[in-house]
Amino acid sequence: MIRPSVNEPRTIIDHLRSRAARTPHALHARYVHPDRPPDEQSYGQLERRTRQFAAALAGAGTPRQRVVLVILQHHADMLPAFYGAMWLGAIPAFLPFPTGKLHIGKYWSDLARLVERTVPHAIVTYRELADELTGLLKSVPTPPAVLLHDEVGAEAPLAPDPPPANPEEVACIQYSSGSTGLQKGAALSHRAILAECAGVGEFFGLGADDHFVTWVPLYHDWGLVCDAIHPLVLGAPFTLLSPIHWVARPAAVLDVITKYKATVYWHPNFAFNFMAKRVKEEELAGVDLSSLRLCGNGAEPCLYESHEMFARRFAKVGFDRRALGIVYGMAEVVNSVIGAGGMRGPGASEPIRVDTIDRKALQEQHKAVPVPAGSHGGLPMLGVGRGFQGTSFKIVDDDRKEVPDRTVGEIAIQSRCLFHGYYRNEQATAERVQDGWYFGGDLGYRAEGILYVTGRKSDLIIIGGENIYPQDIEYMVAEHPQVVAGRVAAIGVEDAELGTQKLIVIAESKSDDPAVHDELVRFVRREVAARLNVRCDRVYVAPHKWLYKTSSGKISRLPNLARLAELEPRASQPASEPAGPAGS
Amino acid sequence: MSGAAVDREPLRAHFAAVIGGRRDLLPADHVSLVDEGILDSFGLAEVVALVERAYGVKVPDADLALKTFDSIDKIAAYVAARR
Repeated sequence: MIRPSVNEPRTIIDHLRSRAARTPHALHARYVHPDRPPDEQSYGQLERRTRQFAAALAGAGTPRQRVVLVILQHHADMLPAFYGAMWLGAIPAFLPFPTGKLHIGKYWSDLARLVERTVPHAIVTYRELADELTGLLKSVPTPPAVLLHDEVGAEAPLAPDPPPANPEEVACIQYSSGSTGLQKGAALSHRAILAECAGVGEFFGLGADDHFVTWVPLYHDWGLVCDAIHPLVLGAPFTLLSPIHWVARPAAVLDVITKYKATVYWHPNFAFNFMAKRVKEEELAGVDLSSLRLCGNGAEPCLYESHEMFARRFAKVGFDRRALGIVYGMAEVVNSVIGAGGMRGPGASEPIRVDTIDRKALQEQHKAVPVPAGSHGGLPMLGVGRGFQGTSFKIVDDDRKEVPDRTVGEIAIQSRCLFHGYYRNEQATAERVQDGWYFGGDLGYRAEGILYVTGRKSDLIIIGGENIYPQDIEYMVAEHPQVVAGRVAAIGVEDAELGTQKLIVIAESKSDDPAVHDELVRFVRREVAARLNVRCDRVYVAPHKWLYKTSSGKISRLPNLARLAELEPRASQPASEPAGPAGS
Repeated sequence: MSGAAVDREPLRAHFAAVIGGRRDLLPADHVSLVDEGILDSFGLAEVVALVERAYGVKVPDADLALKTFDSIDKIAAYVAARR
């Protein structure tokens, strides 16, 4: 086969083809399974399988720049299906797959809305979903083709070389969680994605000699970009565990790091706490983390204590705390555009700063007033760093005017990695982008050129790196006939112990019957789990007009949290076990 | 294998604690804890740890699935089968 020159890769597919041409037998990806040996895929196999998916999608008539949804479980076909769409110039987007039996109905109604909005040409999925999916699509005006990944056989035909690609075209879409999030898919160009890869790669000194490990799923933007696309572009292999494997046996990732001498391991903040607490002493036998030179944090606020806990716990198995790194970003700038730390590249001379500030001044005056480390009332903040090449940030007030250093305001980002906009949602794009700056709603401050993140302007809840929109919960709880319409609050509360937020739901009831209240508590837990796959830490039922709202009708977080003790239900007996990692 | 002979008290105590000590709101032993919003994937690690600690049963990685531990009955049956 004659291959055109791909000396200057300008798209992700160029990189894929270049790797397959130069090092076809080198390892691209390893999918670890709890019950059988891992599946390994070389670059040559990746390209072959990608061509097979491209041919199958072309056979289904997939045109350029139409959306292809990929809904696959942990499997070596995940990326070939995704890249197969990209090969044709179509726009792939990963979506999570449904988990648990009750979740199905809610999952499908969200998916139906997404299909109506994005009008995908095809959906690549797995056999168990086929019947439900086909049923769902009957009600869609222009139903997409459904392609089962195992129908694309090992000897399936290969697509020809891809058409000339335009790096400015939309390469893929990334969705954040929740039904609100599903309406806002960030459309990213090849150019933006490759710029992000270059920025992260340069800053942390990443290269082909690295080996990435993660359990963060590929339908999460962090998993996809940092653990699959970065390695592909760098020519480095990666090893992927399934999230359920990791969460039930967190030590599994330590075994994988040890076995393959992994150098780069990204996970969200809560995972630092989770690993430090949940890994058992006997599971550390034989573990060696000395190969890690970047253990990175991101996807949710990064906490000082989480890093300390992790570094202390694993120092004796060779973990070097200089490997700790931080990134900051969001799907709208591909992934990570600001960062600090790690043991190589410029990041090594930009270690993570700790800025101890006065907690009271932060809460009451929105100022970051430095106080000596360890002082009473001091809050140690982790600096998320400086902008990578091609990215700058500023802190602005409500009128989007820049504020002085150490004043808390909204974080605005200007970056060569900026998205095209939200797919088919110009209004949402216009709200977030102005004069080339992206206003994402995170709050923070700047000190000595370093960004510190303090919270969210909106009430977005982030649990374990997953975005949860409070209004999703509030609407679904309000469907209960005994709940007062519009009088529900879903609040994320920081929990330093867990290293993430926990979820509290307060619902006003029309009834004062305790039996109705008990039924409501069960209803809320069931619905939230079914719809969002997240566990409520506490559910409170309040009398009508209990919730404090501002004059504009918005539920105020802090005043309501301060009064929660009033609603504390009588415990039938004291808890005999401490609360677990995702709250209780 | 039935879990009838397994002492379920540690399991009930654990899940009652998860829902704020409301033992009265704990569903019946056969009811899905996932459906009730009491057990999620993060909770799975706690349940595995509890099974190993309270019953001395080692849970191999291949068994790490929510459906195996989705109700008190299922956990008890698992313990009985593995003991």
